[in-house]
Amino acid sequence: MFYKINEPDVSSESFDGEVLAINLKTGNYYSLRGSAAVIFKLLISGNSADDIVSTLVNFYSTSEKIMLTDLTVFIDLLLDNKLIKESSLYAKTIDSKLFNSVTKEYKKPILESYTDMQDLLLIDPIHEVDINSGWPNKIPNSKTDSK
Amino acid sequence: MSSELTIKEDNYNLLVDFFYCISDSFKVSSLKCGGKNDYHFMLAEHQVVISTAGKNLQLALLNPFYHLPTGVDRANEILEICVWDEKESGVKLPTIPWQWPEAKNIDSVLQFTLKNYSVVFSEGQSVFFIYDSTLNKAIVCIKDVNSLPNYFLSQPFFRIFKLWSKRVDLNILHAGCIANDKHAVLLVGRGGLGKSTSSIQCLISGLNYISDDYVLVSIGSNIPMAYSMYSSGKLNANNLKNFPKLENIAFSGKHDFENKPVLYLNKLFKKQIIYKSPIKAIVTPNITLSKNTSYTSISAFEGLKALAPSTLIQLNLGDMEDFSKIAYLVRNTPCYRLDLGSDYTTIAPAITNILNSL
Repeated sequence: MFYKINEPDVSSESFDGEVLAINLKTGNYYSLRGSAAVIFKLLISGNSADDIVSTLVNFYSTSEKIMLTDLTVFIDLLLDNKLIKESSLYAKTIDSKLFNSVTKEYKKPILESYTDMQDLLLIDPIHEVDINSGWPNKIPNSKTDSK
Repeated sequence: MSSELTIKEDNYNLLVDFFYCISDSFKVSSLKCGGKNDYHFMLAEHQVVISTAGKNLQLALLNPFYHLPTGVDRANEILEICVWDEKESGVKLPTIPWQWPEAKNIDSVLQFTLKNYSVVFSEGQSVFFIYDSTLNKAIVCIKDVNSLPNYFLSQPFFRIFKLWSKRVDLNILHAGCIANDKHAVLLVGRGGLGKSTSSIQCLISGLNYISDDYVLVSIGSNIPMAYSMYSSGKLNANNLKNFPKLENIAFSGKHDFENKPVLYLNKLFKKQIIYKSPIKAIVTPNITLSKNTSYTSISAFEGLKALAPSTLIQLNLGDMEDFSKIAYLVRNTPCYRLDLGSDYTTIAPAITNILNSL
């Protein structure tokens, strides 16, 4: 199974070994800590779970079993929070620069979620019209005259 | 697929016709209200003209722009905003040739964009506008200016500026902005963390003021520049008691849903409300139990976490491209946390120290 970022709803930015991901549709945002940032970047560039495990086992001093368990849980979390989606595109692209600011000590991938913006979104809800589904609907035989 | 395209084209032609129709309505309403009144000013190096049908709308809506440079510069492309009031003029909004979806409540904002046209129906369905990005012109119909909520009166036409900012490659950030004579700091974070209080306290203490809530920023330039949009501020009614000097300029209006009176700050601080200043730091206010205000350096990641969600999610002020731009700004700007003390008079000295250290 391969994955990609859940565009256009989600975008992420990487800073010194941490990733901030924002889901504009749900109004939640996420901080990806520990090994989460590097795993996330490997996932959304099209690497398979097997590729990621073998890469990380080589880099971190941890067992393949622990890595696979942690990765499976983390992928489920990302899917549950709609940060990634399944993709049919496989691209084994391990960029060695990804590990430049990463410590050798293995830390479990952590997805910290923030929901404090959700209530604020409800104050001023915006209904964006979906043009592709044929909206706004034309009123039959409408004319642009005064009410 | 082909039927989808037909629907789109159909809708587009409706919008073209509708734009002409609503433009005519504005002309008729101007005639009925004693003529069209134009007010020209500069917003972030761009020319804006707000044309109102009659003078009453000018009096009600233009106060927050009077601090911006005025004048007509024909060399520049002009954003034109034409506004009329249904109640005053008796000219109704033309029948909308499409159906809106059923909104769950009247406060919902209904909007769509089709090619060069953006349509927004907002403020409890009391303000309608259509913006043509090709003509750079918006036509606005207000149901009754006397029924507009305070937040609209303090930040008029914000939704139009939001659409226009994309066109001119500027970003609107959810931030206060305070400056000394050389440069500025952005005060960022979600609502309720002290941006307005800090900005207004700094203004009272003699620092220059660009905004307390929204600021226009050119991020792509060598040195990011902050531009003022509105000279108005808002403070929670309970908090206003802590600023007795401001009580005389506070306007509560009939529809102060947030219980935040509008402060027309240019009436008291004309010289300190400035047009622009280069951004040199990002500051995230944080309410503490201490008496005195202090500050400490924080990571760019923490700065981004304070600025990006409140701008992109809370205020819906951008898209993914904007997230990258905000990240670029934060990466290249030092970030600080401002631990606010209960003694408000200690806020301005702390921000002055940050400004002087840059």
